[in-house]
Amino acid sequence: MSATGNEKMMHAEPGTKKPCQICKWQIADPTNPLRGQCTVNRNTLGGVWKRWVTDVNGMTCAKHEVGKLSFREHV
Amino acid sequence: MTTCKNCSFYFAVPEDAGDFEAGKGDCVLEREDAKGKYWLSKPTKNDSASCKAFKKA
Amino acid sequence: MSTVAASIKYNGKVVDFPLANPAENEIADEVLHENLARPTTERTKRLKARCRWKHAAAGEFVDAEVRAGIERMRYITEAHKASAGQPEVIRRALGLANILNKSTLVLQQDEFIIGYHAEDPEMFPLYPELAYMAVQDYLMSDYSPQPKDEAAEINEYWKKYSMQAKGERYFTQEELLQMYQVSTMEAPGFATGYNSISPPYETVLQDGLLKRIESAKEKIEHAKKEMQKIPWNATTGLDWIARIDVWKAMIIADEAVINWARRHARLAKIVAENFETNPARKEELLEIAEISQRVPAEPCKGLKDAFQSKWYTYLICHAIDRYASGYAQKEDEMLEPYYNISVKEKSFQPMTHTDVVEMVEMERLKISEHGAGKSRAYREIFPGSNDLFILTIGGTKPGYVDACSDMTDAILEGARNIRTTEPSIVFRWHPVGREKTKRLVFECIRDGLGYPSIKHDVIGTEQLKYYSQFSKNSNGATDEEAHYWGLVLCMSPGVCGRRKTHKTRSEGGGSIFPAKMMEIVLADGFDWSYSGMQLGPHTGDPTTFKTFELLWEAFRTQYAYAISKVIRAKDIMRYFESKFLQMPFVSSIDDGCMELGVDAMELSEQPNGWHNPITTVVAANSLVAVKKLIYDEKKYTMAQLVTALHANWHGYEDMRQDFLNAPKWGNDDDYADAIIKDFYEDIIGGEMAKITNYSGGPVLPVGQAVGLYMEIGSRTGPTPDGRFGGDAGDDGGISPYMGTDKKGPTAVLKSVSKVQKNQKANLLNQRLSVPIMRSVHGFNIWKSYMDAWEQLNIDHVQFNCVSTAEMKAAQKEPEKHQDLIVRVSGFSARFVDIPTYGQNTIIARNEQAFGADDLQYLNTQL
Ligand code: SF4
Ligand code: SF4
Repeated sequence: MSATGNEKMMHAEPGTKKPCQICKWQIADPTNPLRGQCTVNRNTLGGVWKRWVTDVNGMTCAKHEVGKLSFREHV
Repeated sequence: MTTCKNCSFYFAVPEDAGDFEAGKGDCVLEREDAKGKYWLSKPTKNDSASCKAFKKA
Repeated sequence: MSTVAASIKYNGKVVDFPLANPAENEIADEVLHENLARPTTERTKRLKARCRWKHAAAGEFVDAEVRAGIERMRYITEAHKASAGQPEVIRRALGLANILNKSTLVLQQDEFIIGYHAEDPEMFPLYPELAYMAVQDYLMSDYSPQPKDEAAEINEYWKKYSMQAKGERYFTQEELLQMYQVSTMEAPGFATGYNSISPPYETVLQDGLLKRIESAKEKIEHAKKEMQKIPWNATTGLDWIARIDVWKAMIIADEAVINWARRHARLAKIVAENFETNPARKEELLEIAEISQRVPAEPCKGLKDAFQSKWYTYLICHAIDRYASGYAQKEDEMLEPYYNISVKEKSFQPMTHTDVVEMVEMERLKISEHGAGKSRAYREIFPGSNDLFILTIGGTKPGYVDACSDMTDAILEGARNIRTTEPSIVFRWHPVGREKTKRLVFECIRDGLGYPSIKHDVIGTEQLKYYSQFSKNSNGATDEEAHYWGLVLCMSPGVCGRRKTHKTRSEGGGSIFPAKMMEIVLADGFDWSYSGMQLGPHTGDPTTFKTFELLWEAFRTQYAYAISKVIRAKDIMRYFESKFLQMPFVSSIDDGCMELGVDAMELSEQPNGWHNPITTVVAANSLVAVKKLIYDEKKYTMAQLVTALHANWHGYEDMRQDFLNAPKWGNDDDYADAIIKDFYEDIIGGEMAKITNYSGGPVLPVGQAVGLYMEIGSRTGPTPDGRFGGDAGDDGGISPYMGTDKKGPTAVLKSVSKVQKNQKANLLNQRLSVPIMRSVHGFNIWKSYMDAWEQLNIDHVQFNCVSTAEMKAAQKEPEKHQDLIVRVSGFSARFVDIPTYGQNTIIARNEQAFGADDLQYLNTQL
């Protein structure tokens, strides 16, 4: 299984109207501001299982939601 | 043209100071926000054009 | 109202636990911490109430007013352009001088210790000469420097000159991707600008900068004479060129620092004479002016001088010349002579002990509002705090003589009274340490501050002597210097004082993450769960590993790959630091740099190499479970495990329970501990010790966690210890995984004491029961625990003493719990400024109660 192999999961979609960049679940990469991290996967205990977003403007998935994550929901 | 020289917030750098230069002064302004008062000091020149905070000495 | 611990039967009698302070019976558990602060004066009460905290959480600043300033980046850039063609070390000095000469100074109401590092007390500076990615991230944020266009232009200018551009050239694109994502390795300093330093404060306090300038001038005169000698000898003569430039740069830097401090003196005087109406404050401002006119130019004459001179030095070394986290210093011994002058002899700046406690509180509040322009990674990993600030006290002088003094006590009393998250304190524990001071240490811990953390005095001292044998110029720490140590950051000892201190994080610091390595070992080095890329070497399909040893060696290979890469990155950074990021001010205050004419970034006299494995226990517990269930008992196959892990255990709950219930670290379990001891000593320490770094010494592991145990947990898929993908890692270098230490506090100590070889330091988090610690027996129990800890030769321990009831109440009504402080890992944090999940990981730590068996083992006298 690959983290990026499933269409319902994060995938590249050039020119998408719903890029990770403006998705509620996307937070910045710790080092490179052109990349990001998806935090949509959450455990029952509140843990966040992240995925790396290598291109915040060119990737998306079906769980896209516009918004900004509150710091309380961060890890 | 008004200049810093005529401003009440302009304080000439004394001649014995290590950073003395002719015409150099400290511009000292009082500020206040929700957390209290503070003062800022920035170098200026006596012939610099005055700024919005200018107050006649 | 308040919970009282249940009575126990011990040594044939019933022991009750009434609260030491009966008034606390009326205070509900949920609000205890809101009732503990007692600032020493009205002034410190006001200063705390208006403190401009700059806490970050989740990579963002908690307070909306906090933002980046532009002055520092503007003036260093202006100087860099104007100084083209001059020697690089001189350019660095001119850069510092331009910032100091032109920047806006700040003086706040009520302050006694003055000085700030940005143009507004809500701002912090940025450092485009380090990593342009870090500045770019700020430019994209809500707290970008303004005007943004100017800041963007400055950042663009630095792209080609930055440390990032220089360092990146020596790595492949794949290597950079592996490091920058921070999953098996922390990103290198050239990509983040993160740094730490132990400034040689003592020379500034003892000599004053005018004397340092004189020394540099004499050195230059001497050098010129040497160069003029007849007959000319190039083999020695040419060496003087670089040295002359270094000394010249020192003079430029020191003169600029003196002028800058004296600008502060003028500001205080101008405010006194033109703005202030309160006659008492007027007089105080004139005294402040007099102090800043005198120091750091001249030697300190009293304790007020010492606090101020130290603060200016701190600002230059940690925030203005270059960003560096930490607050490394042996503060009690450094200030003790001035304490004696002002408090005991009353011969200069006379004051009482209580006045000193107020000074300590004011210094703590200065740190509390110090803003760090650090990169996003480091805004994420110290949630609920400004940055890492740790000072060191206690310990011993040569001959293992107690170094505690009334100054030590004042530092502890101030910390206990004012209750701030930072700076954190480390107490060096030795049996000879006086009990009066140890009681104050206990009171801070009992009040839930999370500090002092405790370090083993002998281990730290002997370690510095060990490193000194590798000194490149055969001038490592002497016995006396080895006794004068403080932590460089959270965990690692380094020499303090006039010479040989730690100057850059290229020497020690930075992390690697065994939990993530464990994950990729089970996928041939591929990261299927976070980045979808090859993160390490191909170590083979794990289903073909016929023996546990093959798995063990595959892990070793992944680990060795990562550790060599991160140390290489640090040493490459050091190479460029010594050529383009010299620190003339720091050099001027180090006796070695002054004597030899070598910049602080280049000179290494005392090696102190280390790196931080974080999440070691997840990997270690995983190996134990795999060995037991797959190789020993053969209950499952490796193929089944790999399948279950890729499903994040969904559909395999029974199997997960087996892996979860396999023996775990921290229970004095022989099976688990034998494997884990080997893991620490043979792989984690053993592989690291094979490396030789810039300073010529070995690199040793400093196991700790900061907030990375959560960050890395969130980038790590499920692991064979029964963890789900995304769950936090272990919260300390050698601390049991949260909730898995089930045999009580002494079993934890016994497990931990087994790991001794090839280690530099290891963080042990323990959570203590509030009712027991606040009872009449609290100190005796804790003291006997500490004595046992010392005898077991354990490096470190730190405590949370906060009730679950209070933490849960704070989750519900954060605004009512602003004074609730918790120990996260290596730093303390304001609980309500931590994301919910992080809070939950602290609540989930096992609270250690002391049963009769434990007390028996500790030989506690009740
Ligand atoms: S939920 Fe989907 S769109 Fe949103 S950040 Fe994650 S991958 Fe991108
Ligand atoms: S800069 Fe403005 S406020 Fe300052 S001295 Fe000049 S005119 Fe006055």
